[in-house]
Amino acid sequence: MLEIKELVKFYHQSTGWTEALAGIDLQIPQGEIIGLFGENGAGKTTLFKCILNFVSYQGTVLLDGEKIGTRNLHRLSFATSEHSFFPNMTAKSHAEFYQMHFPAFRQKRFQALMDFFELPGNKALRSFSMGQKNQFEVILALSQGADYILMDEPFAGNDIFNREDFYKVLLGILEPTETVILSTHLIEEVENFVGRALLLRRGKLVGDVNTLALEEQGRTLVEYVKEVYDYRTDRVSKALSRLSE
Amino acid sequence: MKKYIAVLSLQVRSTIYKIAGIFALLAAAEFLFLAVYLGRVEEETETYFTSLQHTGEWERMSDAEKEQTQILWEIRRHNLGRAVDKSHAEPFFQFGMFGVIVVLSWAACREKSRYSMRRLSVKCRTVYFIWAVYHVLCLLLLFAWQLLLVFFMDQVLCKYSPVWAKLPQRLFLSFYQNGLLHSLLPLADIARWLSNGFFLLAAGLYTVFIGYSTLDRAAAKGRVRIVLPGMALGLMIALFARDIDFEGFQYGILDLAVALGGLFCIIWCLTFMLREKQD
Repeated sequence: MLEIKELVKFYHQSTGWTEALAGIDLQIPQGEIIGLFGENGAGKTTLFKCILNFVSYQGTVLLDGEKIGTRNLHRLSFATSEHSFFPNMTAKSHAEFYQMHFPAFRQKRFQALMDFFELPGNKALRSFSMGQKNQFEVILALSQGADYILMDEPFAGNDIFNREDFYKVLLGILEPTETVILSTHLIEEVENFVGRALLLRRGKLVGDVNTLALEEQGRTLVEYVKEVYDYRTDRVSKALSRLSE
Repeated sequence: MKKYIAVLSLQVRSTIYKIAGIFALLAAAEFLFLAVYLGRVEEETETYFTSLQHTGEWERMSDAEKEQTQILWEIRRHNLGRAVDKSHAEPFFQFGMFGVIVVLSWAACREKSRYSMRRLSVKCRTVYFIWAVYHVLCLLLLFAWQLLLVFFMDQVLCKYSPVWAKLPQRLFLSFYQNGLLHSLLPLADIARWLSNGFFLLAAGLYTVFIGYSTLDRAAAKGRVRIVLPGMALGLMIALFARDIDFEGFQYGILDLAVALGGLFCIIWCLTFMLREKQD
């Protein structure tokens, strides 16, 4: 169980202190596929960084009752579109390297995903295209053998066919104990794949819903998100009419 | 143990070919200038002895004097210290050191891979200390490579000059008389051994300190604080091939300056690296 209690994070900027996360309380059990949604600057990436202990924060983040540190960090993996791998190494070398650092590394899954995305194993990663780099980042996160897989905008730059296929593969390969937290703007695309949706707005958790419950109510995730975000349907028409005046 | 070797291999993989390239360039540049110099010496020798014959001075000399003149000329022209100077080994070696330091520092800057670095089963700081050891070894290898080039130069000189080849203490004297050679292998000069040790340790630590400081992208201060020890290291490189302290004072000050520069650099880098955790 990943427990987040009263998580607060301030960033210092030239204009002063900015509150990136304003007291997040959250419990994430193992075995869920969670969508993390929110507009740009809502705090999604910051939340991930706090969970991974990459930045200092106030509050508590516990993994099965223990603070996250060198001892249990291997239970979390992270895929970011910032490409945090080693550009001079080949995909195969990455797999070997990860095997040494993460004893639960899933070699079979790694190879299957490499084949699925048709990525070259013997080329240095710096020569990969943007889309291939994103795919590889996801492959590494999924193959690390982590219990919690955090994905931050993992498919920026990938075409829709690749993404849709990937969601299907993801559902097929995940084991019941694995949890995926997927941060994305593509709500409609992942609607059918996530079991739970978390909504962040200006550093606050403004929505936490089970997608099955939504379905039973006859509502879609997009409708729910619009409702929580107080989306004004007349926003576009008003703007257009103002422009034409 | 495997995981430590794995993090070491990260750095080796990113630097080994570039460093080998610098080694190759160093050898090519020095031997090119040596070849040019040896060509000129042939001409100079011919001109010198022809002029002696033209002025009639050669005829006036006794056989012993002629032999002595020939030997002195040979030793003056074909000696290792002069060959090292004429092949511009000193500036090339300094450029080589600078190049190796740049390559190692650049490779240690893992700003893009910082999230992966922080999730490894080896602490970030440990990774950087492992790399520091590797960096010191790379610089030691550069020293060894330069020494090897010098020994090759000596072999070339021996082929050109039988007189030089016959001198039993030619290497010993050269390593005492030439600044670069003496700094590479200081023989009984303990001060130079110490300052070399400080230099290697400072360079090894500084090259990883740059990477360690840029690991946290938000820490702009990290970039500022690398300037001062960098300047100290620059000074140490510039003074590396200083001459030996025959006068007893002037060069002793330089030795002290280099040692203090190294000590400052080591303390500076260690203070920050031990105080701040990037894990």
